[in-house]
Amino acid sequence: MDVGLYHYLVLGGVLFCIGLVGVMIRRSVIAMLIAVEILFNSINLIAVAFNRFVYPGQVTGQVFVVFIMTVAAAEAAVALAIVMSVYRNFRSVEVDGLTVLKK
Amino acid sequence: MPYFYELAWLIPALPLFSFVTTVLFTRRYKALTTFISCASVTGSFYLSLRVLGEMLGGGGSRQTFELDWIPLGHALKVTLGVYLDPLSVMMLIVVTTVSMLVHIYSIGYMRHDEGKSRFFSFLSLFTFSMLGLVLSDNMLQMFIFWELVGVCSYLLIGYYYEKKVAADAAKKAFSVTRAGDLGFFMAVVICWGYFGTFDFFVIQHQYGHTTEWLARLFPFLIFFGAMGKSGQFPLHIWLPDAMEGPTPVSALIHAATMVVAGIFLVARAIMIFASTPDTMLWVAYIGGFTALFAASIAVAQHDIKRILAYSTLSQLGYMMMALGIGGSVGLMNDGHGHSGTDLALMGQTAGTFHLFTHAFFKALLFLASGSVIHAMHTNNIWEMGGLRSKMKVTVWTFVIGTLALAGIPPFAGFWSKDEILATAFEVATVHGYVLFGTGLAAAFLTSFYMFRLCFVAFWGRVPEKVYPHESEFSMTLPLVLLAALSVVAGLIGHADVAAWLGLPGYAQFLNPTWDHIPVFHYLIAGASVAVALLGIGSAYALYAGRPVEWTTGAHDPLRARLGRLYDHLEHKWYIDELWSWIVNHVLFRMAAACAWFDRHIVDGTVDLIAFATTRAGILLQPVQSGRLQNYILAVVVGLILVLAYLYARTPQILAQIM
Repeated sequence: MDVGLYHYLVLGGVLFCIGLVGVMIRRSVIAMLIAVEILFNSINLIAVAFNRFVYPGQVTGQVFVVFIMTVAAAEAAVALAIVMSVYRNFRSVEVDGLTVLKK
Repeated sequence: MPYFYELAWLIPALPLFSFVTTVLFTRRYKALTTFISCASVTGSFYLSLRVLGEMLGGGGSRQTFELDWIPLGHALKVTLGVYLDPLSVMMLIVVTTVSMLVHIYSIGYMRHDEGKSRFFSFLSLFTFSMLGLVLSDNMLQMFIFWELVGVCSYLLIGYYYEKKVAADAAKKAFSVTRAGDLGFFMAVVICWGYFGTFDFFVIQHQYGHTTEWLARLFPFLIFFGAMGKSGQFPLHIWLPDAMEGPTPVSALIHAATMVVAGIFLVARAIMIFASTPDTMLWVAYIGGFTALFAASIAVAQHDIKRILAYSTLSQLGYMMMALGIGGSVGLMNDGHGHSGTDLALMGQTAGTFHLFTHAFFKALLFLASGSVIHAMHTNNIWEMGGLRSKMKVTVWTFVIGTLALAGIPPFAGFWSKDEILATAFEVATVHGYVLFGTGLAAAFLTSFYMFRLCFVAFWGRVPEKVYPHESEFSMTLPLVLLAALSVVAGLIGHADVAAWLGLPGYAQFLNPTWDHIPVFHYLIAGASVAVALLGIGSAYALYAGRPVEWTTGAHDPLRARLGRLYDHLEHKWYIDELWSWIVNHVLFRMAAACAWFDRHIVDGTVDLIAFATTRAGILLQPVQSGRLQNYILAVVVGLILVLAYLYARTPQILAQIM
């Protein structure tokens, strides 16, 4: 069986949904971060797939992926630092308790 | 080679330099500040004389300096220029001469004053502004300097700011002249709107072809500005109060220079004015009325400076009357044997010539009165007396100024006043004769109140316990010089006398291309001298033998003769009361209505918006749960809704993707 564009798109879509549901239902901030990473990577997958099958001669999709990976790394660093700080203050990384900004 | 023409920009620049230097650096060194101010204005005076010399040598009229100040494309170009023509050069001479002499006088007058540096730097600023005003080649520049002289006037009237009267007088002067300036400003705006330029000469050229009513209103608005500055009825009320300033300031600003800015403005725009004869008739009647009205008030005043202030108002009215009556027949019409243009130029000549001579003798009268006040420590003429033997220079120069003002030949005022009366006479309309009569009546009152002042203050015996002494040299020198000018300045008005002196006559100087030679009317001159002598005679009869015990205005013998009328005169015809009623009952009520509108409607709208925002915030507050995952859910739901909407609108979108 040939693996074509649609396979990648379906895989990407499935990953995206997993990530989205993960972000929405997991209560731990760490788990949410992991889910966000899955979201990123689903997009990356789709981007390189389009690049490969729709515009084979170009590198636009790959460049996007590289940028997204860079940004994701920076984001992860910042987010983990925030998580550390949240943990120090609240002794917990459960997202339900973090509503102090509201008032 | 007109060398000094090119340097004319230095004439206002020197006092500006002096102002900046003295304010920024030398304020603490009073002697140095005084020196810089006096030196700079003397430099301006010298340059003005040289420019005059070159003009007499055939320099002509032209713009010699131009600075693109705010170039805003073709739509609006704001330039600062120096325009030299006989009118502006005449003003240069007047302003620099009087300003220089006032500076010298102030050395003595302000010797013991703590704020001397402040005084001199303001004087410099004023001199700069006034010179910038007279050299202006466009209306906007003139307006800028017009406001600057107003500010200087405000600063100098309120020089003794710790005195409440002085501070109030300064505010009054500023607000009343501002009311007039509004007219001038509207004229400037209209001028730009209709003619697309601020240049006087371009407007003058185009004006005759305009028929739009707003443009026809233009001279009237200019005149409104001139009324405020030159104290024409009913905007005259600020000038007598302005006498709260130091006397040199009264002499420089409120007698010789700033108050004639209005006359200068009308004279500058005379050809624009003369194409609207109706406005000119207004100008003439307001001028004539002011001349008579202010003179009548001066008759019953007791403060030496106030008498002079009303006299200034009256003479300014005279000048306005001359300008107005000359242009009142219109450029297109003919008078009796004269074309309308001839008559307009005659009015311009007479009005500005009176401005020229008046500047000298009125500055002289003010400075001499300052010298008297300096010695007597009072302004009330009834508390003076017998000064003739104690202060010889002051009193005799004062008498020369009085003779010049009263119009006794050969003193300066005679020639110029005669020319004004002659213009009114030659216009030969009903209005001309009415104003001629008004002028004669004002001339009678003028000589009466001036000699009343002299007989009361200088003749008789010295009151007890007062030891007046002559003022110091720096104060008497300007008096003597101004007295000399008051004697000779008028001579150039008579073409033959001027030719004998080797100078062009004033009319020929002012309009070199105009071939009209003014005729000297012996009959009119005789009439004006006769009424002046009548005034002196009446004053002599009433006041010459004043007993020593008449020490207040209550003893004025005129009071018994005039009865109720005297009270009206003493209270200045209650015009101040009328204005304060208008301000309190009309203006303040309008202000209260505006304040109500502002507070309830404008602020109310703003408050309503703020209130609505706050309420909406409170209503929407529950949406912000603070739970991160609720937000994400909202984002996802929102995204799905957007996508669903897009699909519902154009179902093909899915087919395109597939």
